[in-house]
Amino acid sequence: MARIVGKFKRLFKRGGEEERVEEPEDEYAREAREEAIQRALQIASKQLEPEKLVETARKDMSKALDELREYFGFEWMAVIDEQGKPIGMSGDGSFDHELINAIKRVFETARDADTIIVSSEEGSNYLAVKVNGSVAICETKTTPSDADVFMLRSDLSMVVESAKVPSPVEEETEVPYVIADRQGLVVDSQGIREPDRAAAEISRLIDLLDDYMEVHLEWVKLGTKSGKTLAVKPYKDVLIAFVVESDPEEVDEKCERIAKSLMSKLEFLIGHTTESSKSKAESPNEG
Amino acid sequence: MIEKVLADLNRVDGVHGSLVVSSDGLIIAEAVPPDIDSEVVGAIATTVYGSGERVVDEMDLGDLEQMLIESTEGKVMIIAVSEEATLVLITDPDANLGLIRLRAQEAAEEIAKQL
Repeated sequence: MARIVGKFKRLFKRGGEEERVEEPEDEYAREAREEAIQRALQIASKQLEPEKLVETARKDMSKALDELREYFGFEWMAVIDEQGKPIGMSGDGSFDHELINAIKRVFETARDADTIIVSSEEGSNYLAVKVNGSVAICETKTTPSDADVFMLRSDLSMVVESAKVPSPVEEETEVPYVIADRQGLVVDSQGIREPDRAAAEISRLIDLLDDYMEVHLEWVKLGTKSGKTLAVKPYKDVLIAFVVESDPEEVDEKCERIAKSLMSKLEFLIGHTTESSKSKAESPNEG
Repeated sequence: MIEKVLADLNRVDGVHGSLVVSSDGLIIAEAVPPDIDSEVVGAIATTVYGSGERVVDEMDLGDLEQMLIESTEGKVMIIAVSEEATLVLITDPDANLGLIRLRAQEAAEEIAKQL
């Protein structure tokens, strides 16, 4: 296992700005030891059930990642495919695209490398492991041990492979959709002919309902004679609209699942935009 | 009688009231409790259904057949009866939509025969 350990201060916008207060060395050593003991106790007290994890990953990749993240005590983790497209994420906090791009570049340059550990001055560590063509990136407060990396690789391998098995959930992520803001401007879309016009009409419909009904809208579902349903879900400041073809008995359940999947995708997009804006604001002289 | 069809529909668990509205928003028949202003409901239902028709038309999804508006306070289902009329149902927030959809569809067919 090749390992590149480095301090990429530029990658971590949160780190390195303030002067670090030096503490006595023995204090650090004691803290590190206590942390390691705590970590060992945590791992010993919890057990991941591989079969359950595989089943969860088949149904919902993000949920399986939630379990892994909690088990390993990561702050957040994300899995990207070979093209850098996110295929699952878990945990709070912003999605650092600068970090992900940097990790991708390191893996592209050091072709034999399969693990990267990056530590920051403020104590957050970043671990990236290549698993079955995908890359998992995790943020952790503790320094990952070789055993952690080995176990993570093994568990992630199961999760990534299981998620590749075609399942109804995976098919659902291919549904035509448009995500628009309340003014009808498209945030993201897939498989919708003229998404701008669709978004404009959808936002007009929701405006009408908001004006007339003065209730908290949860769903608007439009069923057509061709057996298709256009489902619209107001979520935060946007409208998530997608088309499903399903039996009337199953349509509501299917809509909930698809909406959840698109919400995750939206959260990723919001994270991306926030990060891009933040980095532009922080380096106004660049570019 | 359309009123009889509506009264039967209102017996389905979770249905609070129902009415048949013409495409210009006028009430054709109604079976709603006194706390519901049927004329207002009819006018709103016609307007939003028209907007829904434009949405599905714009997206090339075929003719609109049914519109369901779900809110924390309750649900409103609007079903095409004919080109000139719609059936509007007001339900509780936790109503069993599967059964209501089925009964509403049957009621719409029955009402279409009578119009």
